[in-house]
Amino acid sequence: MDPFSIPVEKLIEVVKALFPLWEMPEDLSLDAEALEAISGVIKAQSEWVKERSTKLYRDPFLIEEKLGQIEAGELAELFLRTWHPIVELEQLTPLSLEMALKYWFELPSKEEAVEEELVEKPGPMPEIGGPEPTFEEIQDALEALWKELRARAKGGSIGYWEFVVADTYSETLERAYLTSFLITYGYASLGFDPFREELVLRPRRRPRRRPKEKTTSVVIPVDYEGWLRHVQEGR
Amino acid sequence: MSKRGGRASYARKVKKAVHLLFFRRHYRPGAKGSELKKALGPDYLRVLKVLDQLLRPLDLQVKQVFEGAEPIPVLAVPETPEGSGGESKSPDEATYYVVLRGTFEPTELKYCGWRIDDMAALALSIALILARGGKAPRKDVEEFLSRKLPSWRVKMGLDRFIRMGYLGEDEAGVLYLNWRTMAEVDLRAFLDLLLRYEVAQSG
Repeated sequence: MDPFSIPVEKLIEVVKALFPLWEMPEDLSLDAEALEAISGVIKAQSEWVKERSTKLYRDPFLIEEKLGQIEAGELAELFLRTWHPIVELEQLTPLSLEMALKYWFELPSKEEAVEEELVEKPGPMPEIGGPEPTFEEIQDALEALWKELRARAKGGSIGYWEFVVADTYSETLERAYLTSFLITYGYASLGFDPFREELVLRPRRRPRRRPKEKTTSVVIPVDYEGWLRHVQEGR
Repeated sequence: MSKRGGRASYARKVKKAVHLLFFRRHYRPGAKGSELKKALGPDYLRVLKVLDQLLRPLDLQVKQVFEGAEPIPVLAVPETPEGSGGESKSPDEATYYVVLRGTFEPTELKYCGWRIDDMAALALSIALILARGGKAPRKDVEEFLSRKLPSWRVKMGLDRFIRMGYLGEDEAGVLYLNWRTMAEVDLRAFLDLLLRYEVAQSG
């Protein structure tokens, strides 16, 4: 609401004219409340003037209208003409070396690790190596997976395990992880097929956004033994 | 000190300034005025000006940025003598960065890990926040971005802009412009270009 649309001067005149008539403390208290409200309007007017007097003020409606009309590529090109990125280099520092050393000393020795293995008997874990994937790589992987899901579902659905299970355990984990994103962001739905008695994935042509739709979280463990079983069943 | 000795001393200080400004030592890049003063001496602004001249042919520039204010080229910063006082802020309180003097061509974006879509999303977020007076609910920004981009890219993109320091998010889920936007983007020019763009299209 525009604070200048409130006739502050008239309101003060009214308060001033009525003030001598009040005798009861309740009336005076109400008068004080009215004055406080008027002072709030004056404060809002002051902020309005301050905001519009800054160098960065532009008509918000005009900006939003333009943002709605302009193509993404054109907007990026406009932005590029005003973007002067900081030049920075990352390198090892004494602090990071110290932290690495601390981590190294806290790692259990090979003998200790073997002992722990004998006690807990964990399944073989996938090897983790190579550089961390970039933001773009994750995006590309999601898009590729969505495309693959649509192709393999052939307009219908496909069993969750049939889709997710790959030749290696690590690849299966990666596919399960990315599939969870496809489901969360509405690019596919996860359901239960009572005839096949299994979880099925149904890809959508376009992502569906239903903020009011009741959502449920499903935990699907992807353990090594389970993966082996699915691979054998697949053969 | 002889002229040659003075020149050698400056050369050493310029090298040190390069180490401090280019290599990231903290969470944020750049160096605080107080750090530079400690490492280079009270005439650090003069050293930065010399460095700025040396960086000019490489299309780089040294800039001074006070918290929440527009960046100033270091060449335009007055060298106030020690203890002069006054109402203006001390240059020791500012942060100094080396930035690109010119700008990138759209084809060069991929060299620094940006997609044109991500750049557009950043531009749109910044413009929308500016239009809303410096703050905008994350929900509104997401909704606006979702009109042009897939929703997973919107969420991941905003998280990335926050991580990089372009945007900030408070506990109530309200987004604001953070230190990197203030240091890297000529906001006034950006808004003017945006406004003129429409005039040129309709005119």
